[in-house]
Amino acid sequence: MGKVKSVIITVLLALAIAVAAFFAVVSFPATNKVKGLTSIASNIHLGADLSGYAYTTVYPEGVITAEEYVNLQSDKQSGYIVAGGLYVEEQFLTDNGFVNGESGEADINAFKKAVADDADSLNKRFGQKGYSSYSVAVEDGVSIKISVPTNFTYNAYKYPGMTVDDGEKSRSTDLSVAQAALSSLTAYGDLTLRTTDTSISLTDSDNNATTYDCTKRGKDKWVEIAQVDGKDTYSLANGDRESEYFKSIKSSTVGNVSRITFNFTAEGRAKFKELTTRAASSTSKVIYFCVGDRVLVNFECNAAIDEKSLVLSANDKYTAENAAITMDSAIGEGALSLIYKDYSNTYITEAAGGKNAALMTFIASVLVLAGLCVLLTVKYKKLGAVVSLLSIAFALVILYALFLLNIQVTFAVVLTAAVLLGLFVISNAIAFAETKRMTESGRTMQASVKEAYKKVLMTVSDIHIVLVIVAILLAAVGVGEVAACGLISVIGVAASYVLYWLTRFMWYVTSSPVKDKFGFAGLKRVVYEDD
Amino acid sequence: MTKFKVCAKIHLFIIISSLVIAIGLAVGTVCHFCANGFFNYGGEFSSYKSVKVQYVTCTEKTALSVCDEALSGLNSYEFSSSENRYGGEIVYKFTSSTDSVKLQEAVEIINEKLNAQVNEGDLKNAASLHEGTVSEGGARAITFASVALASAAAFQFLYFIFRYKLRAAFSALLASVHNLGIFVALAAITRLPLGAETIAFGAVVVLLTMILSAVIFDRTKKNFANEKYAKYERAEVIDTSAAEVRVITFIAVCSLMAAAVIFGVFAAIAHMWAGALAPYALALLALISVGYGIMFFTPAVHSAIDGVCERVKASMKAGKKGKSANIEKSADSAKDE
Repeated sequence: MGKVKSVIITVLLALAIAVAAFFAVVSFPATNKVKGLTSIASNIHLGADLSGYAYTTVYPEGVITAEEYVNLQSDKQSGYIVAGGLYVEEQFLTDNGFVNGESGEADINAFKKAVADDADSLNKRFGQKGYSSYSVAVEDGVSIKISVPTNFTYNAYKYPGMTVDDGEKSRSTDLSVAQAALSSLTAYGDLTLRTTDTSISLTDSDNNATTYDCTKRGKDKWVEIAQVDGKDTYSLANGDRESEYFKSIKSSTVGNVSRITFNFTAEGRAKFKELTTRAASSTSKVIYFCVGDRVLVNFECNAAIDEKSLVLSANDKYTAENAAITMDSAIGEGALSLIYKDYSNTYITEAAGGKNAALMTFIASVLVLAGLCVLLTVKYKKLGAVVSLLSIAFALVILYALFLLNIQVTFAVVLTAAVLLGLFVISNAIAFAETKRMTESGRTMQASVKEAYKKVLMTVSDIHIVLVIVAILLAAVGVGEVAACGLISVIGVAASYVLYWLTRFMWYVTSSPVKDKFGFAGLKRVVYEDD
Repeated sequence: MTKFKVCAKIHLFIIISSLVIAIGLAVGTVCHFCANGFFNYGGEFSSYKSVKVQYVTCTEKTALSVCDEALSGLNSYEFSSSENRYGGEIVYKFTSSTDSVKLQEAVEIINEKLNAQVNEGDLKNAASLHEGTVSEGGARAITFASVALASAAAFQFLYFIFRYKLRAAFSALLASVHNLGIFVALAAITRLPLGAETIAFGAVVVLLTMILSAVIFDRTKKNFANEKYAKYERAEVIDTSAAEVRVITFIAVCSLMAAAVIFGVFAAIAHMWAGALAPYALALLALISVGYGIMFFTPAVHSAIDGVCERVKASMKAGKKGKSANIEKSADSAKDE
């Protein structure tokens, strides 16, 4: 290859990497009229160790906080039992059956047991979300604190105090994911199918008209609290337990399409047909799927449905996931038994790794990459510089993949990325070592490289084949951080293999115009004297 | 040929590995009954104490200065503060071993100072001490990760049978199990607080073991095929192969360890708390497990497995020969008769 061609290809590659790096790490602040540019790196979502937890505490009815207690009149304070830093109304306990069987007095331990059971159910619900980390804790035995990652990007995390700017906007957008989960998954009570119509008129095939009174289901304790746009909702189920209609409720997301699938039991299918016949004759025609007082999903029903399963589309992945997990838990053993006060505030903790953990991790990553580049250049001279350039390209591929695939970055993900970078470097090191061995037998550089790459082809392919399948398994079967590590490994292994061959190509391109091809790779030519 | 005979020291490595795993099991079991569990679970999995301050009559700044003063000397590992239209809430989280009496004293001081200016009948601020018990949340993640890793190891086993030999597949499987076992044992012995990332570190151990064991077995396969080594003992060839790839393994593991140290140093700067170093120390333990396992244990065990397989092969060959010799003998004697 000629010198000009070589220079053009090298410059083009270097330019492409420089442009990608520029957009990856450089941010411009916003000016008055021009919208600022935020880097790819600062738009990657961070795990709890780098951006903190979003948490909420849910209090069952009858429990008040220390602040509420100190602001009560002193005569009312006497009606409360102390539970750590919280207070439980004695009258509430006796009214709701939390009493000692023998003495008939309020039994706070029975109440604590109910709270603990609900915490277990919540733990199972949040466990299905696949968070990189989360916790469900029972505080003082009578309240439940749930913490999930904030899902902040660095851009959102670093602007906590600003009021109106991109940082603040993205902060609330990012946090809405955690807030939606905290709101939906803490829904208490049973699954019910509801309508806003108070009565529905039905006409059978013989033209006999009957009226179904939706308000008649007196035993339904959620009747008065499940509302839609300020209107009360009523049961469509004619006294049945709707949870018995369903075998399972699952969500799935392919691309941008999210669905919730309701699988019916044999009896549930027939009952649901009846129910949809009723809904199709109603004025509103809408069926609301509620857990307790929360409406999780609704659909317009224009005709009776007689299918094995019902598939509803959801706005997004998170809505589908939250609704399916909560409803599936409610039809099983996971319905929360106590009534909890309205879900209120979401609070944010500082990052578990410290306030500047994300920034420090980024600086450390750059330092590690720089150290690797120096090491490679010292060991392999100009060839090392070529590999360094491609190592930077590899790091950029990982960075862009984290952004595009919406992977939450935690320290484990960073370590996995480092191992994958190691895979790329090891693959090249194996090829270089084989090349060195070939040159020692007196071959020319070109012949050595050709022979060496041929010899190590299966070794390098073996490693990549095994790893890509292992990574797919981890991504598909694992949850939380393991799945994130698996997903980034799939990208990393593929990138490593492609860049390995690109290194081979760039070796050829960059060394073509160089006279001392051995010196280019930090090798010495072995000359055998003729006999 | 290499002077450092790893394969000859198989007993030493088996003893070291068994000791580490046995000590890990013993420490874990004792701690399971006497302390806070088989492992020392970190903040996400363990119980805690917290001081919650709800203020309505003062600013966040005032509340924070009062809290910081009252809680000085007590190390909180998590902090949150947020304002709402009625005032705000500040929460300090402490480990469950923090002295409750001292925390309660601090709570009383905060209550006293924050309400010093509050008139009778006005809304009051309140600080309170809480105890939280965390439900174990890692069970599902551990189950799924175990299934994923087991399937991965099974796949590697099958692939290695196809690419190398059954004996190499066994050795690779053993390497993954051994390295993961050593990592788990070291985590139990050192009592480092375990977070959700530990499961991912386990996956990293298996991934790295797979990469490096493929490098070893490939080199071994090539050397066995090389005429240069035809006259050497098989164990010597495995030793040489291990020595040839030891530099790559050493540099790879050391580079990753250096990276973990750099990340740890920066994490310590970010948090200014030694507890923040736990994940990085765990990452180091994971890398030490892989480094030791791949450089020493795996070649030694592979050599032993290879030796056993060769002996079985030889005895089977001898058996076949003996059998055919007997058949020939009996045929001859029948002819004679």
